[in-house]
Amino acid sequence: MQTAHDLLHLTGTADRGWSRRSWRLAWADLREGVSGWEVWTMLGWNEIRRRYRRSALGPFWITLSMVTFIGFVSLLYARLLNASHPDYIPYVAASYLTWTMIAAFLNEGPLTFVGWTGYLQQMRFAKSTFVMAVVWRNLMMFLHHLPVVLVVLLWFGVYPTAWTLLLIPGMLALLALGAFLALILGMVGARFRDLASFTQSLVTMLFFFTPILYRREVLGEYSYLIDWNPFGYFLDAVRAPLMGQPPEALTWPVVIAVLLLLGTCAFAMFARYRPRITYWL
Amino acid sequence: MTVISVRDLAIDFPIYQIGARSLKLRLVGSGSRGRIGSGSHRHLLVRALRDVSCEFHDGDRVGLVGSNGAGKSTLLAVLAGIYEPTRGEVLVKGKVSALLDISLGMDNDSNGYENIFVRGRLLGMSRAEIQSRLQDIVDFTELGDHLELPLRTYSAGMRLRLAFGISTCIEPDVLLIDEVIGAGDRRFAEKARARFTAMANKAKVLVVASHNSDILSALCNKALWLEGGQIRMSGSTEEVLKAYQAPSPAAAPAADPATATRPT
Repeated sequence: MQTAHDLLHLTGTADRGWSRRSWRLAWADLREGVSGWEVWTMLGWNEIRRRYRRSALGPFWITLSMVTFIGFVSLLYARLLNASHPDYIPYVAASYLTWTMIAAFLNEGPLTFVGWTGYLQQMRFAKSTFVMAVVWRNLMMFLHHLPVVLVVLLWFGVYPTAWTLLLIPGMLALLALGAFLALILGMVGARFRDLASFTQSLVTMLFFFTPILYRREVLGEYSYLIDWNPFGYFLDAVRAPLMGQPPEALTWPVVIAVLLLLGTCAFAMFARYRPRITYWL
Repeated sequence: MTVISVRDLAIDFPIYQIGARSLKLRLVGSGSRGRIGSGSHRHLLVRALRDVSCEFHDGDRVGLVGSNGAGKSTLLAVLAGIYEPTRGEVLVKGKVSALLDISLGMDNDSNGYENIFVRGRLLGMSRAEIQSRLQDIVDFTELGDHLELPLRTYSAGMRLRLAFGISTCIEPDVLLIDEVIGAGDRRFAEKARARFTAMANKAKVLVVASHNSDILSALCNKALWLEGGQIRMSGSTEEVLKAYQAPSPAAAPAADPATATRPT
């Protein structure tokens, strides 16, 4: 935001690298970006409004397609996997809702900064403003779809338990994942424009390597085929509480480890390359 | 009091397009304007500014002159904090507002009021502040009931009135302007000019880039002439404008070929 600072002191970045000053500036950017919620909530909202402007159903189109997907796929895969378990449809509903958010972070991450080129070139913003906008927008979309999934869950007799409380840390973990991905993919995607196409193909592939339509147990001794996929653990961290069930034993250790690793990478990259972002656009 | 201080500023823009290498061979080979150099990492660099040093104090009204591509807009963008210097140092004290694109963030499908709030937020105002200035903006634009309609129904002149009305209700310490825009018919242009001048007068420092020497003479007490990314001359507005407009026999002496360094 252009008037948020009362002292602007910029020095040459050519040889700065990971100096103490660059860490401090990265931290200041994060603080300014996060506290400027009035701007990122507005940008996030406007993006949603712009996408669905003048469409009668608006974001309900996505909810509608989600309901259709859950309905028909559950029918088909219940036969295919011989999963006549009454939990199957709620399982797919909760999985697919969560997966939609993870997929959105991967798909939209490379556009975190590129998508706001006009803004970044005309005004000074804390760069983290746009990371917050991505996270905010996807949280709004999640909450928009949530009621439908809740109806499905209740319809099939899945009720909240004490485990449901884990939904709060689960969502926080998912949002943190989104913020780190938006930051890392946003920077790399600004410099290397091929990244957006790459993550899109990756999402298509990951869909099959994440236990969304099937349970991990189905794979039996072949479960190593999907265990390398970190997104599966984030999925479980949100899905299990939605289902009122305990998460799997490995879920939280892996989630925390991945967040620590990604967070460190994201901050280190941000410290190093933050001043270059506007040059890359 | 020194409000803006710039020391040995250099700005290099990298060009990453595929095929930039062949372009590089041609441009560097011909030594054209001498402002394109090769980086150590294979890609092309355009040196937009180099060796720029200047200081502006409270009360300075600075006009930037120079031909297209001289670096005026880049200098404004650097003072606004959009680009961090490749080398050198920039210090700006106080609230900075850059009106480089006064319609940034305005949306065709939102109505006039919604656009006022969006623009206001981007200009750094809180909702309450915008609310308190709303009437002033509405009165100035003279758009009346049109403000209830989506922006797409506006004529170009009406859009400009709205954008201008919102963007001129701020009170920054440092005001950066890229080309002063007149708004609307003659009567309205008069009014717009008065409003713009009122805003500019409240700022401690005004930096404005323009090709219109009448505007610069009227607004500014200092001028900076940029050529090829470097300061060619600085001084009082009359001096600089006189030199700038003088028919140059030998044109500008060709700048030395720049050797750009270290992109990332």
